[in-house]
Amino acid sequence: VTSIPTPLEPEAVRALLPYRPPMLMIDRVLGWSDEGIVAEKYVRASDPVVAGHLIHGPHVMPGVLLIELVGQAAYLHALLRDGAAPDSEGPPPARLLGRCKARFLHPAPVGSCIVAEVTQLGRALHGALHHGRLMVDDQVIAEIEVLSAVAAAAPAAGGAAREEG
Amino acid sequence: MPTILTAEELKELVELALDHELPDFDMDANLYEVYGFDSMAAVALFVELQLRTGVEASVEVAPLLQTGTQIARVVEERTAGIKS
Repeated sequence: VTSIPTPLEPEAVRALLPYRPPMLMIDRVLGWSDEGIVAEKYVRASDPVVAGHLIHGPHVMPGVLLIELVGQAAYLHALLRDGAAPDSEGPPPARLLGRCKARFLHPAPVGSCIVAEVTQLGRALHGALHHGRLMVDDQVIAEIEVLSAVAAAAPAAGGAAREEG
Repeated sequence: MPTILTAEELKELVELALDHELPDFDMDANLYEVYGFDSMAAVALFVELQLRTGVEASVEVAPLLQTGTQIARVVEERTAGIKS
């Protein structure tokens, strides 16, 4: 297992995650352990997904992309936990979101920095359940739980992997 | 003291994994063939099973557990200290 230094700067995040702007939701990682990961996302007016959302205002991060943020943090956590390194050969296995539960409590306006504290609640087979607590300036803005699994990892005869993400 | 999962508890786990209620539940029915389990439902089931009972089904064992009866038996054996 290759040790991963923390925090992970944007280049290291990009080396691990198969997402690029505007779909890349994680700017940097503040730290991680076997139990979870803490990631940051800046809400920028220049980001097309923000610019194209509620064009008459208020200019806030789309709530559905907060789910994506937690999903990507869970994905990154799984890679780091399993020993992935930015210089690993070949792409990482794709992971798909299976379901989520979300509570949106406050908007994340342009100019804010979202801190996502994502904790692994459990893992089984090729998947895991994570809980994300998203904060802006120490205020909880959303609580999101996501179930994710490696794509096409059918666990049993008769069980088919979902083709959704 | 082994953990004995009842049919009602298994039904609840399966409903949670499927994210919908079932009118009835047959402990011997194949979860994949009868209840429409897929890989994501299996992950949900075994994560919840681990959280509730502490029993972890490995990637090798979990695919073999396809009915409520099989899952209950493994949970009972593992919590009684019997390696299956």
